[in-house]
Parts: sequence; structure tokens; C-alpha cells
Amino acid sequence: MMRSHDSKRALSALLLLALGCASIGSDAAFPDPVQTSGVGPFRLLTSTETGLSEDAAPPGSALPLAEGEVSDGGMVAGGRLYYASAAPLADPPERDASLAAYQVDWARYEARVIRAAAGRTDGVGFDAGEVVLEASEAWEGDAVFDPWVVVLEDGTRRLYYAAEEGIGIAEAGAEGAFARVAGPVFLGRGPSVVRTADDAGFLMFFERDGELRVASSLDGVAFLPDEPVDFLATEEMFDAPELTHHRPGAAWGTMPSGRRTLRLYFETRLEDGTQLPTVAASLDGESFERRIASVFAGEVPAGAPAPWVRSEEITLMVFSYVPGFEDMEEGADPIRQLALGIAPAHLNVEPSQD
Amino acid sequence: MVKLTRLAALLVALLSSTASATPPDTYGFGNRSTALGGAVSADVQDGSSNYHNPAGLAMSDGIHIDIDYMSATPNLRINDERSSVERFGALQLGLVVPVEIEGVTFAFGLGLVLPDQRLARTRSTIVERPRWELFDTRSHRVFLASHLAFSPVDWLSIGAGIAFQAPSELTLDIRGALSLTDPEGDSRLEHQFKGDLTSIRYVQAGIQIRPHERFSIGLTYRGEYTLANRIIATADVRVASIADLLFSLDTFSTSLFGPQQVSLGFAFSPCDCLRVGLEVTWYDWSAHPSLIPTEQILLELDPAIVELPSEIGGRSAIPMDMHDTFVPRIGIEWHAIDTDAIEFDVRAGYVYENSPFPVQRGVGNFVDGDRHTTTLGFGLKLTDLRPTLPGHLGFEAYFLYTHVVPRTHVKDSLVDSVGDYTADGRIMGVGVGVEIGFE
Repeated sequence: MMRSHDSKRALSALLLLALGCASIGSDAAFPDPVQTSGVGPFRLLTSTETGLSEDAAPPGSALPLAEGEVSDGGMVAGGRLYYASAAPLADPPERDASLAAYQVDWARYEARVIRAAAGRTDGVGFDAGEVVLEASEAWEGDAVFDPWVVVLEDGTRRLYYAAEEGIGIAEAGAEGAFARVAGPVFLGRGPSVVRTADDAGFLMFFERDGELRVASSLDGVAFLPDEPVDFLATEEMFDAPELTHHRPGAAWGTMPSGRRTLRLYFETRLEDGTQLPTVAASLDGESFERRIASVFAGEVPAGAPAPWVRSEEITLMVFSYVPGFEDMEEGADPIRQLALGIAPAHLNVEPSQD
Repeated sequence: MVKLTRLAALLVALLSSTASATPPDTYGFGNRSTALGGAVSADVQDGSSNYHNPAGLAMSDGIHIDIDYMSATPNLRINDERSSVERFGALQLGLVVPVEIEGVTFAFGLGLVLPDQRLARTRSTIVERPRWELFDTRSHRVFLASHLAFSPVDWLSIGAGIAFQAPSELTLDIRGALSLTDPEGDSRLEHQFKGDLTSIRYVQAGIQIRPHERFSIGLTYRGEYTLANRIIATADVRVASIADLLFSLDTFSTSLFGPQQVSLGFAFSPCDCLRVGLEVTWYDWSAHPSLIPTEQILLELDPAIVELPSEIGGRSAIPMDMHDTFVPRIGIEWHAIDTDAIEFDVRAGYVYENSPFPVQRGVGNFVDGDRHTTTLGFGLKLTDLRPTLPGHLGFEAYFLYTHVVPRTHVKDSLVDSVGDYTADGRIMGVGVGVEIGFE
């Protein structure tokens, strides 16, 4: 029979045991970041994610370029990376001193051509591309650049590109060479074409004289007159005054709420010599709300942002940047490369171990 | 009279002590009370009276000691991805000590919830990171409350007491000289760190009325409290013998807010084997202060040998725009077995909590959703234990399931740093306990 003080002892022991077991803590993670708006900042992909070794290309590169070859923009469509690039001249003229340090002096390079690169199987990067379009028309001058490809329902690849006197259009089947369809359809550069909100037509965003413009079309070939992109007023400002906007890259994205937004990425140049990719978004493709912040997490100049929407959660971005810019000698040519970024930055696209 | 003096002295001692605590608003308190969905303020008598209605202490028929352990595992999701909200487990202790003095029943009660992972956790709000505000850190605190109650007549009991919380103020002060040429060797910097955990107390009070042996009414009030954390960092450094660098950071944040609450409950027994409790609780969530901290940052260099930005940071609190809620509860207890030696009860409860948080359209990302909670439990009481135990020994358990209704947060801004997201989830919990009652 348990006596009274025995039961008290047992109760005390039970209490001490319970108290002793309490308050054994472990470190807890902060809430996970969430981002569905695609506004970044984008981080550079790792070599594991792109499948490109650091010996073949700088970290974050979208593809390996030849020694001295530069590219100032590209985009992904139908599993291929389309980009324009050029190799340096053997005996180049003096660099144009009026150019910003991050700008390529194309006079010191061979004529730019448009290439298409196939995706790698060991990552989301690309192999070196093959030429798919060279300048041949009088209005094109000696170079074609700023490619943007739309893959139509029947598999036709429609290539919008820029040349000396404006924007041209060429088409090709799923495989095969491009044949010119029209051009120049607009005076301008940097075309980016997407479907309209109702999927009934096309919108073309492009730049002219440092300003973004937009034009609509039912068939994607014949466009109505263009007008400036309508940015809603914002009170926010960058650290330095804005000078110009360039190289739009548009894509529709769907958020978990079901809302579709047209995300318009573009390059913003500031008075202090900064070049940074920025973003605006719209529900209807007509009026855009801007975000006054860089969408790139890096410190080096970056531009020509071209979105590659992979899923509701993940947006990849092809953009042109200058690796090692901070160590560049004054007056040297910036070796612009194509990079791949990802947002949200905490996610990854590492290939499956399977 | 001697006993009254001792009780008064004990209350004074408790009032003057410092302790940290958190009310178990999130997961309930007491095994039986949680199993009944918290719809117990009209007739609670056990150790959980220290949270649900302190008036119940004086209705107890003897000394009660309740020792419970509960564990709840949230599976809360944002965009179908599981959020990092960790399991919550806690030891819950309840004590009821009634005494009768000249025909009037007085009672003292003590309630304690001791989390099994950490005594307290505070995390500042990262505005851009959606977090389940009511489940992230709110429950990770100790709850300590003490009460006194008295019952002047059989049909009336009144109780009141206090619960404790501890805000903090942390100060970091750096002074001295900084060498630019040899920072490691020639710098002479001293720092002092000071941390204060001060106590705050808030009131809990209640009343129980039993106009009929089969019917009772309970009214409970729980006071409001705000836990604020303040961090002050100052630096007064002579840089390279040429200038004085002054730096001041003052950040003030609310880490936890408990709204004042009023709970009105009814309990009735249509027959000897059944007890039904109905309750509604008002939560004053609209008084919730901003959880986004205010910051003031000052940076000065005298003389101004290099240009410093006039403003290097700082932000203002953003209103939460929360609204009051009325939470209905129902609890049913079936006395399945009632003999001289054994009593066996089956319990069930239901709670509907509409979220006090609005859809997060702006910069805030406090995630929550309406919640439906159902509970199922039982209690086995052994009442014929003399002479080993002059009282009874009870074993109790419950299972809890909460369904968090999906909610979609649509941002006003199309270029919001987070974007639209959906949130939903469920919480499953269990509790086991032992109740020891002395006659």
C-alpha cells in the first residue's frame, strides 16, 4: 500500500520529469520566401543548373561563346535560344569614346548575325548556336540582331529581328531555314511580340530613340500604327534620373490566383551610367505599372532582359551582362555575354539526380 | 482569518513577481476543455479555469491537479507548398485549491503552459515573406496565470487574476577609437550590451451563475496585452583621430499582441447523461498594432570628411487593418458510464474562427484563413481509490483537427514583390492528461 508521502514523491518525480523534458528546442527556419509576380531579383544560375562547366563559360552563362565573341541579347522559344553575336575584327578601329563603358562598339566587330542554339540535356543551358539569319537586304545594312521568335500553333517559327532601317519578319518551319516575310515594318529596334490578352491578336513592343513603343496586329505581320507604352505614374524614383528605355522583353505569366499579367521587362539607363533590367506589368497589355528596382541581383551592368516563363513559380531570364565589369580597364571593350537568371532566387532548376 | 491573510499575501507575492507567459489562445488549455471546443466557461471547474473562467475555481469540489501534454502539427501551405511552421508541443499544468471559510468558498488557481521546444521565441517581421502570423511564433511562449475566486452562495462564483508577459529592451553601445591603417592593432573599441526583460500583467476575470442545477452561465474577460521589443544600438567612434562617427539605431516592434476578449457561455444538461455547452467569444482584433517595426537610423560624421547619405534607412509602421471576430463554440459531453468506481465520458467540440486578418492586398503578408476545428475526446475517472488516494484519478485524451479554409491573396500592385498567392492547410493535434483530485 502506497503511503501518503510516497504518493507525494511519485507526483514530484512526475512533475520534474515533465518539466525536464520541456523546453528542448531546435533551430527553426524563417518563413520561406514566396514570389509569383516574377519581379525578381533574378540570380544567376549555377553551373550545375545550366550544365555548363565554369571552364567553358563564366558562371551563369546561357551558352559558351567563342573567344572574344560578344552578344547583347537573346531569347528562348520552342526549346532554342535565339541570339545575335559577333566576333571581334582582327584590326578594329579606335573605340567610340562617347559610348558608355558597358556598351559594345559594334564597329570593332564583324557583322552581327542571328544564331539558334539547342538546349543541353544536362541542364537548362545551351550549346553554341548555328547561324539562322544574316543581313542580305538593302534595308538591313550589314547586320541583323535583336531576335525574337514566336512559335505559332502550326509549328511555324516567326522571327522578328532588327536591322539598320527597322524591324523585319522572317518565318521557318519547325526545322529549316528562315525566309523573309516582311520588313521593315517599323523604324525601331528590340522587337518583342506576344499574344494579346484575349489571344485574338499580337502585340509588338519595341524601342525607338530610347522610348518603348507598342503596336497591335491581328496576324502578327501587319501592324497598326505604334504608340508609346503607357506607364502609370509612380512617385518612386531611382537613385539617378532615368535617361532612356531599351530592349523590351514581354511574356504572360499566371499567378496562383488565376490572374494573368503581361510582364514587360526592359533595360533602363540612368544618368549616372547605370544599366539595369527593370519590369512593368499589365492586365490588358495597354497600361503598365512599373517597379522602380532592378530585377537583377548582380552588381554588374545588365540589359536586354527576355523572360522565359517555366511555370507559375519559376521564371527564367535571358539577359546580357558584363562579367568582370568592375575589373575592366578604362576604355576596354566590354565582353558582353548571355546569362541565365532565375526568380524566385531561392528556387533552382538543377537537373534531377535520376 | 489566518487563511484569508495567507491567501492575500500569496496574491501580493504573485503580483509583484516577474514572469513571462503567453495565453494558449491558439491551441486551447486543459484536456477536457479543449476536447469540448473551449465551450466551457459556464461550468469549467478544473485547472483550465485558469484560462477559461477563473470563477470556476471556486466551484471545484476539492483540490485538482491537471497535468496534460498536447502536441499539434500544422500542415499549412502557401501555393501548395508546405510552410515552415513547426510542430507545437507543450506541457500544461493546472492547479485548483479551494478552501471554505465561514461558509464561503475561496479558491486559488495556477495555470502554466510550458512549450516543449523553447520558452519564448520572437521573430521580427520580414515584410516580403508571407508568414502564418497566428501560428509562427505566437504560441511559442510560456503561459502563467494565477487567480483567486470565491463563491458567496451556491449559485454564484466570481474569480479574477492576472497573467504575465515579458517585453524586452536591448541596448548595444559601442565607444572608442577606430584606426583605418591598422584596424586590428590600433583600434580601441569597447562595447556594452544590456538586456531588460520587464514584466507586464493583464487581467483575467470571470463569473459563473447557476440558476438551476441543469443550467449555468459563464462570462469571462481576458485583458489586452502588447509585447513590444525595442532594440537600441549606438556608436560613438573617433575615426583615425580626424572625425567622430555617430551612429544611432532605434527600432521598436510589436512582437505579440493579445486582444481583449469577452466570452459568454451557457451549459445545460437535458438529462443526467448529457451536457451541452454553447459559447461565443468576442476578440478585439481591430486594436491590433502594426507588427511591422518602426526604425530610426541616424548616421553623422563630424567633421564631414566624406559625404554621407542624409537618410540610410528607417521605416514607419504599417496598419494591420484587422477586424474584430466573434467565435462560436459548442461542446457536448456524454457521460457514458457512471458507477461508484468508474466514470467514462465521451466529448466532442466544434469551433469556427473567422480570420481577423484581411486579404493581404498591400505590402503586408500576414497569412491566415477561416478555421473549422473539430475535437473528439474521452475521460476515464477512477473514483474508488481509497485508501491509496483520497479522491479520484482521471485519464483524458483528445484528438483535434482544424481545417484552414483556402484563401487567395490578390495584390493591388501587379509588380508586388511577392505577388498573388493562395493559402490553406490543416492542423492535427492530440492531447493526453492526468487529473488528480483530492477530496
